[in-house]
Amino acid sequence: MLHLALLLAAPVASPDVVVVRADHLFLGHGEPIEGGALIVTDGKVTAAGASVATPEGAIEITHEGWITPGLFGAFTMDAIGSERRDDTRPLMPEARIAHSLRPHSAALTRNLRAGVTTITINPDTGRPCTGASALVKTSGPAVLDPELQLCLDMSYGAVKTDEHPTSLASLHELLDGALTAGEGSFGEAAAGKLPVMIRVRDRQSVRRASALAKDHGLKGALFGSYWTEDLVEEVSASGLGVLCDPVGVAADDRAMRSINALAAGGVKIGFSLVTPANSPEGMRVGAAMCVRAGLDPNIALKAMTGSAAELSGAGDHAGVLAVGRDADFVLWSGSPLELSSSLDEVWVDGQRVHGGEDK
Amino acid sequence: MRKLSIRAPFVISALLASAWSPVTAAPSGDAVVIRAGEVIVRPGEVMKDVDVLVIDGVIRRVAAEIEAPEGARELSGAVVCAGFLDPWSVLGINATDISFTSVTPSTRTADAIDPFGQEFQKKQALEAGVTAVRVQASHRALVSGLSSVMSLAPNGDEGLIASDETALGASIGLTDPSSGGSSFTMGPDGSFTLVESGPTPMDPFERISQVDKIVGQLEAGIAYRISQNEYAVDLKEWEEAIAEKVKELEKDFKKAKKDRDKEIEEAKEKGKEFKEERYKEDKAPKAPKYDADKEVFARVANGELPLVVEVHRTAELRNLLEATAKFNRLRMVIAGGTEAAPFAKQLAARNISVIVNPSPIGEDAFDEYDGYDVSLAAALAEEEVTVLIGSGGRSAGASRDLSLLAAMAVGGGLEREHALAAITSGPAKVFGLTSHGTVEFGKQADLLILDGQPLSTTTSVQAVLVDGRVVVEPKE
Repeated sequence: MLHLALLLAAPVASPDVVVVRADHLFLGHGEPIEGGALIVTDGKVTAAGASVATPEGAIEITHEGWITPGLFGAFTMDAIGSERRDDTRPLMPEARIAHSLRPHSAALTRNLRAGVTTITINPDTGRPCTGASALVKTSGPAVLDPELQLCLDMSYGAVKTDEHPTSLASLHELLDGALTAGEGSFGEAAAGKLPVMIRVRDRQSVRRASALAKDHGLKGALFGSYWTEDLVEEVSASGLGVLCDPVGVAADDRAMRSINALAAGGVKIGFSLVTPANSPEGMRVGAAMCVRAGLDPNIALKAMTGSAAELSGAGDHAGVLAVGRDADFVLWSGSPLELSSSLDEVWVDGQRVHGGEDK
Repeated sequence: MRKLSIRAPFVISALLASAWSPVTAAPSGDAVVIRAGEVIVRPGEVMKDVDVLVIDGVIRRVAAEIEAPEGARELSGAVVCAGFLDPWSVLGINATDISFTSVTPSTRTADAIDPFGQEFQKKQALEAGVTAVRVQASHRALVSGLSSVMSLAPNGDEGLIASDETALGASIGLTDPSSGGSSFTMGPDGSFTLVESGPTPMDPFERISQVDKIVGQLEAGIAYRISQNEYAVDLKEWEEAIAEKVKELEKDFKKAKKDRDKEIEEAKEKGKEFKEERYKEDKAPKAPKYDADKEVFARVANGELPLVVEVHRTAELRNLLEATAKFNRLRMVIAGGTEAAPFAKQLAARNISVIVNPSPIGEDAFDEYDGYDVSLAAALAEEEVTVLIGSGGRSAGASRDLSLLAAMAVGGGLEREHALAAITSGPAKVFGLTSHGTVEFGKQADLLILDGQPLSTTTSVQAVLVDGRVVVEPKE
């Protein structure tokens, strides 16, 4: 009765302590907790788990369905307009895409409404090194980290006919040389301080990128899963995880097979968003398609949250609901892997920003 | 033309009298009994712990504890439902025929279907529970010709095409992917910049003129039908008149012949040409020139064949609905209908169904899809519009994901039963496939055996029957 009275008296908009209970609570790592709860104090998670007592005076919300962390949108070119890449030089390690951010872009709202609370904005691929990606909250937006990952491209897309590098081999050599010289952002990447994201598209680039990462002890992820099906061992030996290509309706079987083979081989996987070309809603579709093709549902849930954040170099900021983290979470009517589930509410920093009563 | 019909009821006494040896029953599976935890007879109507008896490709009984006929194959599973039917697919036709636009109304997609093509995609769709698809080639043509319903069962040489003239396809306002291109623009400093532009959306006036063209063809179809009917009447009258005249002339035939012979003789003597007597009945009514395309539009305007129009934006939707209101026999179906929600009441009142493709759309998509909302199917259903769910008629691989698309529509607010109907009984009803879509007596046995509810991500298809044959074998 006390809770009800408080709920009526205090607007949910600015609570001090909120307890959210749900039938299923997924924290972004591990396994979903049946009947879990989350305590949010001043926008931060202060407790999360199976047996959480409601503190006195707290507002309690009970949700029939699922709670997950806000989904993580790895690799987007949202809110940067056409300023996607500088084409003038093959290596632009000090370029920072964060400078291109257009804070009022509708693309950010679109993400938020799909439950994607944090994204990386990335320079476009197509050159060997296009600078660093940035970590952005879609609600504010706030740039949480302007130097998230060094973005490299080792695929044929970065090879030109009239400009160095003109072959995959010279592209490999160029990046190898830059990492060995170790200046600036390349030095930080070689020292393991700045993670990398290497675009791969074909078997050759998967192998070259895996070798480069192994040679220089790089941290981060390959971006591109389609051709990895029979290269799982090499990818695994590289020490990198894989940000997977988006999987949509009508996707070729190999798209799912490769992702599932990586997961089965113990490689950490995350889904990528690749917006605005794709819709942010597409991530759940891809996850569901992989699950239908045999992917472990828990790995799929992680690949949309904790693992995707970790592989994007944002593991300290987003993707999991842990004590001390921003209380960014989504309430779903059922498992987000069921496409028949609907998104009920999106909460950011402990406040409801989408859905609920004003849905 | 082969049309599918319900088979003649099987006479039970004949079954009992005939010797049921395992040899005749086993390979073709003439009789199959499925023991099911639940049977979804039709969406919303579920029977628990019942069996389904299939004989000779037809569902004979759905009841508890059916005794299996001798030699019948027995299967079991948690859930049995009707095979999925994709009402908007391009499975079975090659990519050139999908984008080919030089077609006429009487062009038949059935003729573009390659029974041996896209084997793996058909197999994947079948394994995902899709047993039949309505295929439409040339989707981007103003009038795309006649679509067909194809069964996905392998070795389906007989019964491959369940219905070869299912509907007439048309489209309004679709962006030409080859439009746009590059051009130079001059900057303020006099420098030139190369600007690449993507495909350009169709001008609204052009879109509306497309509506007018379709309406014009419907009118021409009606005029053609009227001229045919008039000819039929004239022909009948003429035949009657001839018969009467013949009767009249026969009365004094001998005298008339004598007179005529005499006249011929006289003409010969005088060296003149003999002129036969003319009768006004000699002149037969002239048949209208046969026109296959007008004939198709005549069938459409007369409601004998549905018209499926892919149309998305408000301008062309409004114009299409207004301009077709006078054709009161027309059976129209909207495909796509991105901005159709505000027209829901009118669509429902005119019994116009909508085939929705619930795939999420990226911002780079063509103008006509801009503004797509996953709640479209639900918004239409709310106003009692018949909603079907289709894979969009662009990619042959998409039919495989039909049940996921239906699940997405549920995520957008459509009721679960409604979404299941949208890929089973709904398309069967709208496209006149009277023996498909439900699990009940007399229907063709296109059945799925599932390990869970049909629209769930984690449900897998255990076995598939088409026409009573097990075409996807249960996994051991």
